[in-house]
Amino acid sequence: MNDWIGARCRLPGSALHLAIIRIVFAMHALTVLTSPSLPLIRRLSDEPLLSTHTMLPPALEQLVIRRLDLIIAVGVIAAVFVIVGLATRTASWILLAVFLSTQNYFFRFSLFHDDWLYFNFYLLVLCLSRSADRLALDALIRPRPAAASPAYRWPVEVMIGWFSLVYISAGIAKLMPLRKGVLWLGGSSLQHFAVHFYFDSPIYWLLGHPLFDYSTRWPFCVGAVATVLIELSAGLLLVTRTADAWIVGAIILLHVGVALLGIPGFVQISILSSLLFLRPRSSVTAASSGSSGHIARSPTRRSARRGA
Amino acid sequence: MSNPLSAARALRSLVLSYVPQRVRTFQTLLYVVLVANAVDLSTSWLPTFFDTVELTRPSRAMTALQLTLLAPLLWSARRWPWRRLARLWADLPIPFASRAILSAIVFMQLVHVAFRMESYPFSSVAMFSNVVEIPATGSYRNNSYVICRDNQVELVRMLREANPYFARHFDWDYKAGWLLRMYKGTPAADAVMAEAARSAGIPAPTMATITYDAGSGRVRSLVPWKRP
Repeated sequence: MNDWIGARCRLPGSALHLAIIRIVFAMHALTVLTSPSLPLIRRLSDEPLLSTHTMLPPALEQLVIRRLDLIIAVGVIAAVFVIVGLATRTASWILLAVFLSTQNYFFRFSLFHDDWLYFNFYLLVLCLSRSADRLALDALIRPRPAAASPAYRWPVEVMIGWFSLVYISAGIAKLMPLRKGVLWLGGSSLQHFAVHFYFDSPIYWLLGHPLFDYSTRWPFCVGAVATVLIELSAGLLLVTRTADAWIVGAIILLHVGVALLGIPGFVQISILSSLLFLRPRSSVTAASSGSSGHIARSPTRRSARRGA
Repeated sequence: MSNPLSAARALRSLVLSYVPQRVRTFQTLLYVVLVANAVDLSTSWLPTFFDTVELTRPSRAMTALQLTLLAPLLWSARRWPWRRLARLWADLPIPFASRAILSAIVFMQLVHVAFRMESYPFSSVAMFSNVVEIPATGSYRNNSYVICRDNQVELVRMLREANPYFARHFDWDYKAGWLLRMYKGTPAADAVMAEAARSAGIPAPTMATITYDAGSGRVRSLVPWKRP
């Protein structure tokens, strides 16, 4: 159990790795905030969908609806500040607040679970971590002494933990309650999904016909079982990272499959999240010499290759 | 094995080494069953809108049995290494305030998963986990915008128009495409579509109901909507 997530949090981390994550995630938040979908909602509906619930207070929801343009503008500025690493701590909190509230608005009117499921938590972790010690104007203007190396590691591992939890949750939701899980594994839900989104699928756009006879059940049964196995395999990321490339690769492939059947949006999220799995090579010596670490292949893998 | 005594000793050591391992395996399996039972109960607890098919309710006897099976699980909780877990949590190299905030959020997420609830920003991640009924006729009906021109009918699919590689008329992202797909046929969406079509220099799309074969995808009929 030396490789479980708690133990990994104590390992040396890389300030550069964390800085790259900060920049890329903030850039993604920027694209989400500038999506034409948010202003579009105002033109389409006034009332949130009845099937959605939120913990955000109604007053805040109303504020977002009334001052949407202003809030998006503030979020865009905050995202740019986080990207360049200027007043990063304050800008991160503002970006989180704007992202959280505007994604609530999007979810309440679309019932779509995408970026917010992952990035609310990722942005919160960035707010709580020292992500601006490298590749940031803050580091140039007000250089701070390098932190203990785990300070750059735990945020990454905690985000990996959340990534894992999202997929474990998805697997459990498909299997439980058990009497529903048995039906789901039968493949009828996946079959319905493929047929329902048929005209929205790139397979149809490219081929003009289904990939195979969608009235046949067994391929969907196989697909359903594979989906649950891939999602639950993310649980291994909590106890070891020896198979992380396989697991994350399988998750990306799963989302590519889902996108080919008609639901886009998750491929880029999983690819962005895979950035977390870069292996930092930052040792105690690097920390003590003032270097904040750099990214490279895992020493374990390298030594294994040498050994071979 | 010529000596019966040594054979008996070997057999005894074999049994002693083998049985406890089997017992441990059995205990682990039993534990998995008990946890699965508890999650099954908790995820059944609250009504949900997810499933379009009415799930059979377990009988009273079954529910009683499931509730009874909670007892050994709760009893075993006495022996869980609570102190060790607390020490592990305290030893994490994360500042206390951050650790407390992140732990609270993870706990809330677990509660939502356990009870199959969704309340933004927490979710049971249950999208596409619902059970649906496949039409027995083998055909599906779907509403879609269509453009009629030059005696041709073209389907205007929102998610296609939201895809940068496949879009034919519009320049949306997938979120906007999803929204327009969701609100299609409403007066507001019609107005947005008409405006976008005018900008793209194409006729305003109108709504139609498509019936198509579930297996081959072949369109059986396309009936335009009659607006009052």
